[in-house]
Amino acid sequence: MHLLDWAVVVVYLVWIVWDGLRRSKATSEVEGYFLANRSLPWWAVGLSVMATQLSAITLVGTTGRGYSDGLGVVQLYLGLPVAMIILSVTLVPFFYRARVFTAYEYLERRFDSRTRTLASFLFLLSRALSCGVIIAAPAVILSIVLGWNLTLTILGIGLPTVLYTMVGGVQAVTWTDVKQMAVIIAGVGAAVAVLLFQLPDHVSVGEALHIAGTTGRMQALDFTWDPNKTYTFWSGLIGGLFLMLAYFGCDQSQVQRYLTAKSVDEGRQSLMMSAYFKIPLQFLIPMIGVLIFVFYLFHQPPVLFNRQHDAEVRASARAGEYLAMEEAFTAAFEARRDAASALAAARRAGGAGALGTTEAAFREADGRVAAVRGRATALVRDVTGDRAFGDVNYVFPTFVTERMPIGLVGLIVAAIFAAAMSSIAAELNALSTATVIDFYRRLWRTGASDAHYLSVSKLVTGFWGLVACVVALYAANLGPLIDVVNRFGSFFYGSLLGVFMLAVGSKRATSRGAFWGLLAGMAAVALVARYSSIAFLWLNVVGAVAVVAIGMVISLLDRSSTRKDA
Amino acid sequence: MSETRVTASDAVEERDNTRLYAGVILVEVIVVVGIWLIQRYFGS
Repeated sequence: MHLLDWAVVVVYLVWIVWDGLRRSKATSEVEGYFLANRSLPWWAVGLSVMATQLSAITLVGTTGRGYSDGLGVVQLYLGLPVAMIILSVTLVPFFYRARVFTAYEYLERRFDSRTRTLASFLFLLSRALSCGVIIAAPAVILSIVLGWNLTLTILGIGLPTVLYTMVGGVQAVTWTDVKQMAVIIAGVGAAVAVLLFQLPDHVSVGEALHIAGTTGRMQALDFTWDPNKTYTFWSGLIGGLFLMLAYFGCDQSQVQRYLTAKSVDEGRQSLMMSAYFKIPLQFLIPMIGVLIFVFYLFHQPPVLFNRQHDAEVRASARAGEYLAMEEAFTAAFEARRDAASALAAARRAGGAGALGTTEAAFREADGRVAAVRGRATALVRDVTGDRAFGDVNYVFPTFVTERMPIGLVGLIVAAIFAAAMSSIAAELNALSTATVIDFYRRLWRTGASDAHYLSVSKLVTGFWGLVACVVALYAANLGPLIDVVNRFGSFFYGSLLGVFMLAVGSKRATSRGAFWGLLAGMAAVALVARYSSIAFLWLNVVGAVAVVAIGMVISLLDRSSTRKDA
Repeated sequence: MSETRVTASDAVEERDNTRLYAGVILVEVIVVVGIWLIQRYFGS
């Protein structure tokens, strides 16, 4: 990176840490530290909600998916607006009325302490692991693309975040989230602008999108009914609805965002910001990947964007094979570039016959490029034994570092940092809240002073930050662990939502029904995941429905036996 | 649709959010139709 880019990243880090630390003045009591005394404006909370959800994995991974598969990933968010409305009508007013610190606190008031303990424990377990992954994933990519030391990159993302979250509490989290969201939007906007300006003179934006459309990359909505496909209109609308209900309604890292709002209506309005803007934003991010695909039609890309094992393969016995692949790739790229130019020219000239022929030629040329990339990936896997090797997540960082102008490289690296830090900060803050409120203050040290709990809260935030950094250091060297953590989240999300559905939706639900329903729901999800190839979004539906059904049956049996006893 | 509002001082007020929610649904429909039209136009 150029010195100017380094300066941009350093200025960003100093600015965010300074802004976070100065918020400590407003956190002299536990309610101020965890909930900002319920005083924050809706727009700041709304931006914090969006920044928490948009992690670096989303920013880097989604652009990569746009490059490789197109816009289909936007379907994941189709259920979000309806989820926000349902939450605004149901859980949000319940949480405000109950004046809780954590979502799980409400479960004890409605059911019993063990349901609260189990739910909070599941949250702590999954979020502590995912917090490490959120640090590790961008750190691994940045360290490979920029040649940085991995441990220092993990610490560079993790330590500043731990510092300002520990000292400034939720005030620091929210107000830095606002600034980080601005940095992310600026970075995304800069990437789009550069990509549009770097199109060749003979290709218009419309022609570029038509060329991408020829390969299927402009297909955002897939109306087929296939439960095994990850992203379809229906899995996004129904499975995504359950996922978003669970994430925004039962995950403390999000619930805590809107509990800091001034009133229940400001809490609702903060959620409405995501309802309005999330789908357009999530359409724009994979669109960057599609534009990068178009860019690399006219500028030669590397055979593989992930060059982690490059030196090892070149030094191996199969180095000659790899070199031959590089030559084949150059020839395939040149043929595809010419086919893309011919396609753009045919579009301008009009005429269905010529257009159909050039489209077919372009698809064939694109297929040859993809085939060489596929063979190169297989070769790297064979030589290194790294079965999880892939390069989708490296597309965007490679484009940024090799093709963006000086200064903007720093801005986008800062945006990747911002996306990671905003999510980590919210999760550390939520982990600390759940630990202190659901466990420490309730079970270990009851009746201590507010000052004591405040000090413990800060120490616990630091502890979870340390855990996240340690998990990140291990996760960075265990690639598939990331998948394990993501899958683990989908095991418990739907089930947790089911318990809250029982709590809010049925007066007949008993504490025994809720507790055993939650355990049975997770078992049902584990069974379905084990013995079917159903897409993960549907697991949220399975979990929620199983908990409600089993929980209600147990509750009704419970009530009838109670009546008999009476 | 009428809902209860709980302010910081525990004062309870009634506020009608029907228009807010209807606006969200309307915008989502417009956005999804817009995405579908983009897909139809550029999808070759």
